[in-house]
Amino acid sequence: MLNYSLKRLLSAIPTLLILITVAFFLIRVAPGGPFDSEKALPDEIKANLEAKYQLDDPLVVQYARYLWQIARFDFGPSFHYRDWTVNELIAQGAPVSFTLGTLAMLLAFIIGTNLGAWAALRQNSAADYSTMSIAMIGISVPNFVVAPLLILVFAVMLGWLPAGGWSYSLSHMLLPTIALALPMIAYIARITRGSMIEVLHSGFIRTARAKGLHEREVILRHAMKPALLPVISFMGPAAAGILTGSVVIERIFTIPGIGHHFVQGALNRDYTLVMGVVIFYGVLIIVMNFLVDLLYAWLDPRIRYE
Amino acid sequence: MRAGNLVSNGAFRLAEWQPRSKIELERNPYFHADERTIIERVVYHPIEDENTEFQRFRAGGLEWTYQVPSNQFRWLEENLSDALLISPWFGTYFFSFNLTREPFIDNLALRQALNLAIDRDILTEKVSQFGEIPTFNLIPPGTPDFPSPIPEEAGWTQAEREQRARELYQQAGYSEDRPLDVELRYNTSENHRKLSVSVAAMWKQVLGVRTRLVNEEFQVFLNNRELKRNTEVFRAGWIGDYQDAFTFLELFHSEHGSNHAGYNNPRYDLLLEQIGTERIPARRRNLMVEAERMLLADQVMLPVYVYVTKRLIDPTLKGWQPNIMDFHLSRHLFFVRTKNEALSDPVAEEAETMDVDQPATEPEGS
Repeated sequence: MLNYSLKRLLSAIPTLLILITVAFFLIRVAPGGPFDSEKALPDEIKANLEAKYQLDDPLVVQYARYLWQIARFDFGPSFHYRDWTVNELIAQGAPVSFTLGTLAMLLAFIIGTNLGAWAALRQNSAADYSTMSIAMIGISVPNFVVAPLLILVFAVMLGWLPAGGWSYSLSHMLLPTIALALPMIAYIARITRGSMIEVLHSGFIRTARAKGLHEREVILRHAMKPALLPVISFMGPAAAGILTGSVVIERIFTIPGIGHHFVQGALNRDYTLVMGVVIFYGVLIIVMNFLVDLLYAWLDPRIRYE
Repeated sequence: MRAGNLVSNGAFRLAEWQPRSKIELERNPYFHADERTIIERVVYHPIEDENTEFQRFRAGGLEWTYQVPSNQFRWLEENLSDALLISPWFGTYFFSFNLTREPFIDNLALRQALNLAIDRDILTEKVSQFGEIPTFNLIPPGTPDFPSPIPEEAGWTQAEREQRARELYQQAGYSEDRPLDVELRYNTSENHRKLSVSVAAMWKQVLGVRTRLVNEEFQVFLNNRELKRNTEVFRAGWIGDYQDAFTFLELFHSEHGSNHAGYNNPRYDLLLEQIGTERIPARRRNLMVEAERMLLADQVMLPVYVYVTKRLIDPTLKGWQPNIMDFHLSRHLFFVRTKNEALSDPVAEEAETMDVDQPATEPEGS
């Protein structure tokens, strides 16, 4: 297991290096620069700015310098937020995005698995069909439709919750968490239902029932764990989905997470900020996938990593 | 900018700046007229999405917004007329021609034809819809000591303009059988898209021009506009930096960084230099009038409308004075609330806090 973990961590290095290289050159190839605006800067000032941020060196030199920088965990200064470094901006935004993402994943996991299992146990009944139809709607309606609707109902019409902004309080976190979790709940419910039905028809469940075990015991002790396997493997990519999905939610609810930096940084050609966020996301997704693999081994004793 | 790094001597000073979250100003006790400042704190919220901003205003989280949703004028007028505030701004929305390339290089008649073929009343009443003022000039009305040289066509009916446009179009060497193929470029924005589509439709209807619409992301658009290699007709606009006609006129100096039209007229450059050194106000004014007249006669750009600012202001917030430069000093603002309102809103009573939305990006001609 330890060998496997080490191998996985080492294989992450070339992955990250490719990611950094592609992102570095792609953002530089994009037309326009970080200091372009409606009001053109005089050439001398532009040259001075480029010299200050060392953008006047050949691209390869800049690339080598950047690699050396990030080897020391220094993402450099932001071009747009002049008084802040990228490290500081990520440190400010990441906890917000993490909190929101984790809450949404938790909510989606708890509600989704329960809903899916509940529907599976009532397979082909009216309850099953209606639950799955609602789940289908949840998957189909994008969160940029759900989020403004939630705001309209709960903030504008009822006045129960704020329409946006952020603080670590339930009132600020509730609506964005729900908006972010809704499509995930639907996915997880459908996956759980499918795999639960399959597990319930397998031999070891028949054996458990034949042994005279209580139905509750059969479901919770024997069926639930294997039924969750596909859900767990879904959670890795879903974490990435939550991250990219949070870009939209952060914008609609004006939440100062890092999703915004990802998009706005690219639009502003804030090279260092975009690179910082890309690397951060890259590491996060690699770690999430790794954790999912470890969870897999724990849930399914047949899987062993060498 | 971090609090503590900004040296200022105004009525408020920077208390906190959290990127993407808020900019908070507090009253400056060392300000020379501090005793006349009423509001204690001002909080700016950076909000990009105009609908989000609008919903936050409706939910009571903001007291003044930077903009309003561009497609909801009628709803706003019917439902929030006491909060909706529209006033003229010191800026002009226009389309510009690239004078360094075909088909516009040395083709004044064609530029004039395209200028006359568009119906500015329809563009402002039906498309942009927020009371923008149709214009044939570059420099907006309200510029102090500046009598705009109104072009002759401003006084014509639209039918007369279209008739003249058709004549000029023929004169320029185009006809129904040999129509002009032209590209109209704009940056991503709902308003730019609507206006560009409408202008293209008007050109098609009046002259038979075939227009290719090209939509670009802002930075790509800026880059192409500056390079002048790909552009033909493009979206432009300018909000004056200071209240003087020169802030608009200087844009078309042959060496100015924002001269994206590539206008290069030594007589115009000379005029600008004379304006720069002229000390007698009346003579300087005449020179500026002459400069605008020259720009319009050369048909460097196609003026569409004078910008307006569109805001929602909490009706209890007073002291707001609409002005052409769109400057609003927080030290002149205060709340007027009934006793009941004040009692039900202890925060406002305890510390006069004003929440305003702040433009997250510079105006790009919305």
